[in-house]
Amino acid sequence: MGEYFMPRVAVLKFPGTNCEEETVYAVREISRVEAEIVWHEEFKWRMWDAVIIPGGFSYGDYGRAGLIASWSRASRELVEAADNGIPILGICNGFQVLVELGLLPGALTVNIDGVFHAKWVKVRINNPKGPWLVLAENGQIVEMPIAHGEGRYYHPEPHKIVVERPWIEYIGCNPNGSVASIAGLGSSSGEILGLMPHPERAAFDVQVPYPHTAGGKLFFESIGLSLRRGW
Amino acid sequence: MPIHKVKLVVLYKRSARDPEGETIARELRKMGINAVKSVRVGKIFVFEVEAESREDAITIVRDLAEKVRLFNPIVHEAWVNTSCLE
Repeated sequence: MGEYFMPRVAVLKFPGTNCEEETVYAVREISRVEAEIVWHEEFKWRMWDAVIIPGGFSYGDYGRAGLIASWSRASRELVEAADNGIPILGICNGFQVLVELGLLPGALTVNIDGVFHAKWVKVRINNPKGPWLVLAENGQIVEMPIAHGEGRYYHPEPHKIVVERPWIEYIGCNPNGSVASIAGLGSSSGEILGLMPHPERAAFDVQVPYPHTAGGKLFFESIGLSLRRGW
Repeated sequence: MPIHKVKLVVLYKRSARDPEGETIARELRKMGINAVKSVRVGKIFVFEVEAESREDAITIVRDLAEKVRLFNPIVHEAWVNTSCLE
């Protein structure tokens, strides 16, 4: 029997990132794999089996949310990681970084009503594939909170880009005016996934106010299973 | 080499919504300022650039703006000039 190595997940921290602690906690407790907060200057993709870019306000959202983080050396590492099929999840500001970096298409711009929205939303998971959604069923509806001012997804041809990709759709209300109600979007293989809602804030029942449910568990259970299977 | 001031203006494209500009235009009309038909809100970056000529300075700023994506061509339009600067 071969030696078993515990898979390791990097949770990237830029100046202004503020969701790293609960993200690491969710990976350790739910995915049941190792996780560490990694300062962006120290990030080397070859040391990790998966990467999460957590939420927050990297570099104060200066320029545009995610822009300056996309210039960092860590972002060049992320591009290499993506080329090598390493699973990458961007949550909220992390999604903005992935879009600014060009790893996911389109743009995330200011909410249509100009208001920062912090509330629970229902989303539908469409065409699930890849390591972050292995346990999701097509059309599955889950609940998670959002908390963002720049979450309005825009792409000139939204219906073309979602044909091949896994994507996440706001149900009931579209809180920020995203085109096609896009709340999240993956690469065509699903190895890269970005979403505005916060799975790490809906990962444990104790985080969830009545009458909502812990819709974020799914992402952490999925990546844990994928990595243990040797994604 | 001389220092040139170069201005980069970034605005939302007309095909992309601009909530801040739309809100200002709407509120101005509510105040009775009906001459204003639309407002767009963007950003101005002012660079001080060392270059042989103004044209060179403009080229430097235009190239860097594209390279590091100071604007996102999917939603923004941007232009560079040296006017309106003291």
